[in-house]
Amino acid sequence: MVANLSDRNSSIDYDELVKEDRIHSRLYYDEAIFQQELEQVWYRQWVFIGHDSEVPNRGDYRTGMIGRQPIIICRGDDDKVRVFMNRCRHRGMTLCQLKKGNSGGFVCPYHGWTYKNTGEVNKIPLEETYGTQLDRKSVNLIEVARLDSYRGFLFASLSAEGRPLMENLGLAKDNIDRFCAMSPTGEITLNHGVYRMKIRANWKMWIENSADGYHVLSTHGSNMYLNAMFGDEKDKKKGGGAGLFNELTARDLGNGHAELDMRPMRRKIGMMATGEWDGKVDEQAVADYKQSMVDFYGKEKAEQILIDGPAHAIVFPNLFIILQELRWSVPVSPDETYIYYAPALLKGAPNEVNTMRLREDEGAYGPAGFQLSDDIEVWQRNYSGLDARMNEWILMSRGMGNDRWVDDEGATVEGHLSELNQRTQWAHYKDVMTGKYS
Amino acid sequence: MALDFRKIEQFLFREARLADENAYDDWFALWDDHEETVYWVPCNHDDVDPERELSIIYDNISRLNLRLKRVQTGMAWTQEPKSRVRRIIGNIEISELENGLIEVGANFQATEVRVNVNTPFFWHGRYIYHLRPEGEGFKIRLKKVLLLNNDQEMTQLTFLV
Repeated sequence: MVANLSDRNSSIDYDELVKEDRIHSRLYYDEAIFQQELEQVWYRQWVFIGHDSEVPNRGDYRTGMIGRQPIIICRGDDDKVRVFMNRCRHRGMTLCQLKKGNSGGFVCPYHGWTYKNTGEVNKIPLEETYGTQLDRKSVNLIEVARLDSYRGFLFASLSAEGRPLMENLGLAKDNIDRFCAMSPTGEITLNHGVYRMKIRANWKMWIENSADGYHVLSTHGSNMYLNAMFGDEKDKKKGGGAGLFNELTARDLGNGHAELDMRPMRRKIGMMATGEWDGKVDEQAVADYKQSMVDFYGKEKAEQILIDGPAHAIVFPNLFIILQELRWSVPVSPDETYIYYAPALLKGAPNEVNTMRLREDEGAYGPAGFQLSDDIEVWQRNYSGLDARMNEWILMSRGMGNDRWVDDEGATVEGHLSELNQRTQWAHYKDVMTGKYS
Repeated sequence: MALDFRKIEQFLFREARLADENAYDDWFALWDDHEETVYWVPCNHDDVDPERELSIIYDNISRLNLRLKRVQTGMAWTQEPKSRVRRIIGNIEISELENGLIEVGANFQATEVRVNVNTPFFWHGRYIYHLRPEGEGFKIRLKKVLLLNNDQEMTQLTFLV
């Protein structure tokens, strides 16, 4: 890897690097910028960390990361979900080694300190020998500065200051709603396994790729071919062919959030999501699902939900809500990112429907998925291309000057082949990095 | 029925070589065209319930066929160019199942070299096969791949593990 240009503490002029129609590739590989991103983005903004259905029972826990900082998400014996720093208060040892489990508390093997799963320090061996030097109340597990959730989606901030979560989510809240609305009780569960991907690329490349319509025909050419050659009539109708795909729009949701909106295409096709399941799910199970949706939402709303289908949107900086899956990223270094892909099952839906969701997830995503493996490959090659530095500008101009409009919900919209979403994300990134947005 | 260890071992070695060398049609011909046939790579742990838990691969014969078709379109970019793979299979243990199939357990270590990456990738774990004797050979009814790293962050897995 070519050596980085910046001194770690140098000040970066983001106005020079993020222009309206292009960005400078230094934003991806510069170590000083990465460190500043940790401070301004990962340790200050609302970061997605998981869903509370991953810790359904008292004592359930799951470890994770916020930026480079290890955390434990834990539902205590009092049924409250908390997020702790994964670190013993004594000498700082990593407390929890497992990725998930259930426990009454946490034990540090170094000196034997223990903590309750509600965070209070419990037993301190030979405590009396501390004399007056230790105040118990001051050595409970440290919780994240702010924790909030919407429909079980857990967001944490390591900064005590900042705007509330719902204000930050803004229009992206609707995408969370649409994602959950596929369930006949309005609830999803995320406790069914997770793909863990190690990607040799910068975390921002993943965001750029996610709500992007332009790459589909080429990056996923192999799938377009499979669909054309082997897809059945329903698949072809759902896929829309290249023509109907053009109905998709790119939507700027504000605050760096962006959507690739499938609803215009789906409404034009007019086929409910259940139509796509013919042959894949038992007929009775589909009928039961549809009925339970009608029972819960009423006929008109249930039909609208099923036609509109699930969401497809990025919530800055690290959550991607996509169809039957949630994805979130953890930055490791300028040239490495971990991304987690977890299928969401629908509470209240027949088992056959949920099993089908798993099968669909497996076909498309994960390390062996027909779609995802190609996305990852292009990000990785994108990153290694940045070693060529005679001209470092990255084009972000596609669609500028095209028709754009503001829809009923206040989102700015352009055709899906526009790079509106990428420009939106970079503009917000600049505001976050310069402190204009906090 | 007396189990012929050498014959089973040679079958496994041949299957491995065909997979290593991307001989897609010959490799696919080893699979049993049966509704219960499955190519299975569990995710996160070895004992996944496929009704409720995710797998990295859970292909019936139909999807396995699509998997092989996809990688031959010339547009499956992770395999353009193709990875170079060689694996060793060992620790082979065989037993007969009640339904007449043969269960074979074996450990494997595979090395994958990609043209555009300096360091190789290692894939290690255990194979569980269920083989149906047919004629002088076998057909694969089950190939379950227990990756050591199935709960760790990993790279793309697009060769025939």
